Amino acid sequence: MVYYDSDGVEQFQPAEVVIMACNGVGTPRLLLNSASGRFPDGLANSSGLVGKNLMFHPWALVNGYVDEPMDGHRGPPLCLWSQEFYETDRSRGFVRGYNFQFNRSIGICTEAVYTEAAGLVPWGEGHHDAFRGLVGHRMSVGICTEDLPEEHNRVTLDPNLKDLHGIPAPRIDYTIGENTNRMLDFAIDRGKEILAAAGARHVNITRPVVYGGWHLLGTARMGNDPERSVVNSWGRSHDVKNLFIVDGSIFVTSGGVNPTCTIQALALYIADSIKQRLATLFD
Amino acid sequence: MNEQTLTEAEIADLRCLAGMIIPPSAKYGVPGADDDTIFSDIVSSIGRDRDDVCAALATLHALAGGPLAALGAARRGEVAARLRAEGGSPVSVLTRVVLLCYYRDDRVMVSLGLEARPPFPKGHELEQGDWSLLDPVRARKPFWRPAS
Repeated sequence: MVYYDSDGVEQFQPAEVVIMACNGVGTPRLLLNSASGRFPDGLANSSGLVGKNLMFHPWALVNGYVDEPMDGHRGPPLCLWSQEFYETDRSRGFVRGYNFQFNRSIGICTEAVYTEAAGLVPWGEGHHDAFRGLVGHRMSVGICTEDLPEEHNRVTLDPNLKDLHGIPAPRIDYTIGENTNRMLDFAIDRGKEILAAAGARHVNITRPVVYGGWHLLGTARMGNDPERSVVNSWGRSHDVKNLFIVDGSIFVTSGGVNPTCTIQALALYIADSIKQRLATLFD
Repeated sequence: MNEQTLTEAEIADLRCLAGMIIPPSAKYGVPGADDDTIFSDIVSSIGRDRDDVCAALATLHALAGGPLAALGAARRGEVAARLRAEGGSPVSVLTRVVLLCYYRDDRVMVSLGLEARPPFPKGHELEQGDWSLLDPVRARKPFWRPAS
């Protein structure tokens, strides 16, 4: 393996096995930047799928305010999850599903910023009465959708932008897909029903949440078919038999939850697979 | 240190605006955001938001046609309302800095019935909820796919 050290000096590191863990943007960037005469389209990219099928798990929030004190500033605000709508039910108009995450208010500083930005709290004389009627009373329904692979959502190499070593930077192209948007529509309606049943007022929607839900997934997908995937079912590159990937890029859908535990589980599974196959690892 | 990155005129406008965003309240016994201690915190906390704050203050200065404090109360109110409506992202950033510093002031926290301390490391003791609410959930059949 060849890399540049912190002084910009090229270094060579021999290795029997290379295991990548740079996640959904770093991994395809590194593979695409590793093009050579033998791998002209980038390392491990005979399928042409390295960098494609970028997924996140877009979030939405349905917020409302109830009369009861929610007390969230004294403990973890996240208090309940529901996966009632996690599995596919085609009568809903989309495939796969989402995770509901219920939050019982947040700290006063964050609440102050949120309520002001949402136009619920005025500047000036009315500020104190308005804010004190809301702080500590927010009930929030978070929606974490399962994103699906679409090849136009992708990581490529930016033709102009480079890092300080002159190595091309990643370029990200992504739009929220039709299935995910239908899922958000459905989930937001259910969230509104929940808040209405709880007697919430000032119900407002954040869609998508700009500060969360953007874990980087899917750009070196796992699969049995070398023409439709980058790594096999135990994380080994189809093209380069001593190259393994153990990060979020090998996801085939995003999952409707935060992905770190799954990434850790996959890394342990792939490490165990390597260990079990030592005698035939490169076959 | 950050104080040096704002001009005296910018600091004066920022202080006047902060007091308009959150004025003092005799009803709740709290200072405004232009209070000496809170405003000092605001100025020293601008940090990475300096460019946005300065952009917002430049818009404010243009709308006011001069120092905000030099205007009459009614005109100041008009300028502030227009700034909030038209100032865009830089004004949102400025407002965030003001709010964050205001609501971490000990006097304000106490007035809201909170202890004037961070949640950690002491933490809080919470009362148990009614766990029987989950009994129907526990009793129903699984709706998820079994692991294969």
